[in-house]
Amino acid sequence: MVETPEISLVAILPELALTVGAVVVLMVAVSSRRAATYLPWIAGLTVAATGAGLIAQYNDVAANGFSVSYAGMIVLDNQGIVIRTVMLAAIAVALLVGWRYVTGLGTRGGEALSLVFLSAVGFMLMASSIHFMLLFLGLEVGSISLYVLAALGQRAKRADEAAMKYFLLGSVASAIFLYGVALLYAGTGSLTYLGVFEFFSGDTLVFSDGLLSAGVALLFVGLLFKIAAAPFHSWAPDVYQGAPAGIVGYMGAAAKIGAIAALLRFVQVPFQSVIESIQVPLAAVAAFSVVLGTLYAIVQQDLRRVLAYSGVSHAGFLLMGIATGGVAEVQVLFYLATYVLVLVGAFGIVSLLEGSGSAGSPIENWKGLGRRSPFLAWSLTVFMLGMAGMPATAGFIGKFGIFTRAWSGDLEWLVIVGLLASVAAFFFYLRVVVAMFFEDGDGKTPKLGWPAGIGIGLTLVITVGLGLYPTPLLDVLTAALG
Amino acid sequence: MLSIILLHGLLALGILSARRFIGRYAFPVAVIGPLATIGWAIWRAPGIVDGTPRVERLEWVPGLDLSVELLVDGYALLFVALVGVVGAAIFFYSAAYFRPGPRVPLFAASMVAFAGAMLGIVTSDHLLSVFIFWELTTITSYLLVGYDDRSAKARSAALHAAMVTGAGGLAMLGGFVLLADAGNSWLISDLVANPPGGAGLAWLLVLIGAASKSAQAPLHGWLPGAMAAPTPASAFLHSATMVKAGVFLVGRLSPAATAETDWWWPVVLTIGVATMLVGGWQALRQTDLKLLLAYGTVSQLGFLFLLAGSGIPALAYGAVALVLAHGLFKSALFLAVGAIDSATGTRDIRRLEGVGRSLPWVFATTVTAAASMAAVPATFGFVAKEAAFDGLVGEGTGLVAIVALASVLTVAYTGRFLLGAFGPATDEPTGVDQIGGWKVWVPFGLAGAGLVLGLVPGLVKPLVESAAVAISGDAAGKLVVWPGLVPALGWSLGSLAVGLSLVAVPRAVDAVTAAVATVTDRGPSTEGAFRAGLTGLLGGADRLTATFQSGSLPTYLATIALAVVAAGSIPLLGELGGVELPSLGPAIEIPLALVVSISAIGLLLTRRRFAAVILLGGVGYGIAGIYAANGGPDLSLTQILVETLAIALFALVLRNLPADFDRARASIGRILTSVAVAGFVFVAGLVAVDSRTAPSVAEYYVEESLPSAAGKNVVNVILVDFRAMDTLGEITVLAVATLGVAALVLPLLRRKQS
Repeated sequence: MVETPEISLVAILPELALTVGAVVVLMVAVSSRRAATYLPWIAGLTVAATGAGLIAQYNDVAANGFSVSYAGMIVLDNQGIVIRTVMLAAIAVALLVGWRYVTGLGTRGGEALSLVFLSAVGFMLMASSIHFMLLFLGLEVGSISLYVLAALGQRAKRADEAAMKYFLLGSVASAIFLYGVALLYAGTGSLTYLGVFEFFSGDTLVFSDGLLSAGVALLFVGLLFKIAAAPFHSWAPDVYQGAPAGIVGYMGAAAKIGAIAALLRFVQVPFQSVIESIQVPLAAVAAFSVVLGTLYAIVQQDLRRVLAYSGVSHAGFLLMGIATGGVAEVQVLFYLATYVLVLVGAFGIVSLLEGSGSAGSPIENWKGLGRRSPFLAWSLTVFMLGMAGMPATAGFIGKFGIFTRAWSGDLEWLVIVGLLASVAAFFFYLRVVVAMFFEDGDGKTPKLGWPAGIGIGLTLVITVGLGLYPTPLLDVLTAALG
Repeated sequence: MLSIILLHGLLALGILSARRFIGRYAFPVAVIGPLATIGWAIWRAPGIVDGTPRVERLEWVPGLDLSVELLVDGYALLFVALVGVVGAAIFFYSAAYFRPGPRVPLFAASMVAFAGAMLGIVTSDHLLSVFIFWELTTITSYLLVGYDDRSAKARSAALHAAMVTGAGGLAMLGGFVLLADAGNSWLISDLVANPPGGAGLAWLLVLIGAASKSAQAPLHGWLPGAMAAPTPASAFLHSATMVKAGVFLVGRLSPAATAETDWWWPVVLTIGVATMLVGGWQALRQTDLKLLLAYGTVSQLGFLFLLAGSGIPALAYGAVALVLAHGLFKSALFLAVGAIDSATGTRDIRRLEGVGRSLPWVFATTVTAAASMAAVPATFGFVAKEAAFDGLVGEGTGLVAIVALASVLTVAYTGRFLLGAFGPATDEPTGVDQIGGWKVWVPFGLAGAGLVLGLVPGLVKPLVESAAVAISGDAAGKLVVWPGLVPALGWSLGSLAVGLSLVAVPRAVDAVTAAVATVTDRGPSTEGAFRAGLTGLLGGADRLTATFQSGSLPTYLATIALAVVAAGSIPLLGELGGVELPSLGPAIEIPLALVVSISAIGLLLTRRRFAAVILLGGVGYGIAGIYAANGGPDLSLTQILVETLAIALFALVLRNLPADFDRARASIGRILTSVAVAGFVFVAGLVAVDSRTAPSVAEYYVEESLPSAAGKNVVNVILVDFRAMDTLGEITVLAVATLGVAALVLPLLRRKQS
């Protein structure tokens, strides 16, 4: 008989909660005329239930240590819990700042909500997967939901084009990834992280096997595409510019969380013993992303494209931490957590100014916002400074942590490249700030509802709070991952 | 000190936040910052001057070894005092200078933020925080120069200044990182105490950063441009404080740098001398009072850079004295020019006339400060310059002679300045309005301070001495009203006399400068080089964007495909050598392969959609045939089924599409990309076929299907039993995809129906 694999409910509790939430949202949306009044409650309950699931997981790990279930496919450990918590925080903030978008979709608001939950399920599974097949499934569940979310807005040519590009290029990337998995399996005979790890640690010079090396390369390419690392970033600016403003911040955040979670585990387990062979290409992609993202961002005239290219360079900074191997895991997670929240918050402000279904946001529109809406202008200033890595924001701590780790990890040249790029980046981050406070314009005056206000305020507090006093979070992360 | 710096930040934020209500109280609020600085300096001065630096240390993030380290020794205290005193004076002046307007609070906030950043530079002991504050001054300077946002010239000048000093800052950051790595410490005090060896590049990068900030030739072009800033900003940033940051830094580091490198002092000397001469020469050609002062500042900065960067105690002593003197007289002169400008509406020396008669106090101020600039005895400028000359005499006659030549130029342009401001007009003269209040008394006070210190230099002697000791370990100089008959006095009085004789023949000087200018202006200018560089950079970025980020899906796909080919083919090509070509299967494969190939090529060439669908089917059916020929009838059947279904679906879609494709452009790039991708897939296939080392898992499934899972259809068993988890996952993906398709398509159908 084939053995029944161990089924552990607690290992997938957050994903279960989100799936149930997604299904309930759909049911209510089709069955009730007053669905719109129930949606906030269901969304809130789902987020709360997911949080409760995470707490249960944390207690379980605290009591029993990490555990593997589902025939070696899923691991329940603190690192996964941290990443899922980041994901949940991103959902919460995204729904708060983007709630107007969800309600603005009318009857399709429920669909958008359930797709947000389902995409989170996919990316959360990527964080707990220790099996390449499950990783691919998570990637697909997450990505497909995002493709649809990109297309769900009001019918606008640019939005359609963005969604179509995202779908086609994303599918190609998924195919590349899958081919990489196939070649990896052909080379190692295993689909589990542990199996691949054992294969590699038996013979550290396996990279002489060309097919296997090609497989590993394709595997990474697939994920690098998802985090928009150069040169696999070309979709990002068009999608960030064209997709509905209310949701695009979440889209960028979710894909980065899932793929970074997977890449982090890659260097920790399956490819740990061959880290020297993959370090140079990863560092090269990191450097390329940081430099290219910064250079491109400098010439942009549209805030959404600026944010897209800055996302490319942030992918580079995250990769810098990953290229050091497992030693920078705390720093990578800190960076990831603070970056995605700021990204969601910044796009929330974009959607408040431009309308949640809008495409594009020329710098021109931001002129004089400091006078029209001081709260939003100040918030965006803090978010921009946070992304730039200004001291007293969480972004500085994140960058500093990754730089110091990379420096001690013998990637000095990469740190210098990163440092120079991050200083040059101030140029474009500050451009919108200068436009808001120092240039006059009479664009729209955004209306700030209380959900968006809470979401933005929360992000603000986290960005500045962790910038001034990051020690508690760093301690928690160090203890959890240590 | 940390609290004072934070106070500046809070004041800036407060003024910005309250910009709508604060109105004319912006400067009275802002001045709290400099006043607090002065208070702090007076409170702490006795201890620091006695030789115990004030150290403030704040553990910030212990996990990352991040801490805030401030160290205020005599040298830092001198700059702190300068920032506080000049800052307070200028804020009072600004309150009178600006007419209330919506942008005035922005100016006040930027100025107070700048003052805080400047304090940060001079008091930080940690290289990283020096850098952060350094760039903060660049940013605030950008905002202040570009304050007049409707003037394209101001915006462009602001950008020029920010780019040059920003890029210099980047170089400096690189230097700092290398320095910290070589010396194994981020603290300046550690690095100066134990200079790291073998860090030549680091020192060079730091020097470049310092030179860019202090407007040293050939990077000095941004400073005259920065005169587009309102006059109070020019007086504060571009003469008294910010441009001294580079001087400050080389003063701090030069003892260590000269100890570890043998090129530092010659290079600094060359830069300083070139800057002195270029600045002085250019000042002689200006007709705008403010620009004249700006080039004068360039010249003085060259002198200061040379003195401070020498690492020689006697010269360092002169440097700190001159920093103080220059800060006082140059800010007084700038503010006086601002007063003249607002009284007459011009700064053009050809049109100014009768200012002295109408504004006697401004006249007195200007003459006093200018005398200090020209180092006339009984001014603090003279006292400080004597100290400098005294040190230089010990370093050889050649050096003194060059500095004396620069001093001649200084005297000459000072004369030109005074004659221009108060002498007769050569062009249509302007009227002079009466002005008073802070606008007159603030520069008067600053100039008067220079006079008082010139007569009683003992007032600042402890400060200057402790500053010199802090950087060079020795107070190797003296501040005296009259030095007695020493060689230094000869040099300074001599250059004064020669300079004055030049002033007496202004027409001759004009003729000479004009004649030389016809030659020198033809050469490359720094401004031109900057413009060309900027245009090139932006143009390059634009072209890059247009090529790779055109929005064209094929381009994106090609980029990704080529990157994949590059990443994947490097390891694959190495394998190609040992590959054994697979043996040919049954003979029927040959015609089938031909069908597949011909269909595929035809697919690329056809312009009719319908033909394309049929040819696509040809490819699929051909492959199904190859499966069948190799003993896989079930696989073959599945393939045929899928192909048929696909063709049927295509046929349905085709009804809504035009019959022909758009004319496809077959560019070389596209063909090469296609060939590369096809080649990659071909090689991958070839290598893959040849590389099986383990037995196929299929054998296990076939063997175990019946005994383990009690199923005769192996494919079914694999799907629902051996790999049931994967199947579950795939179903989930399908479900999500279905949901998505429904979400997108159903609303369209509904709209069609209604």
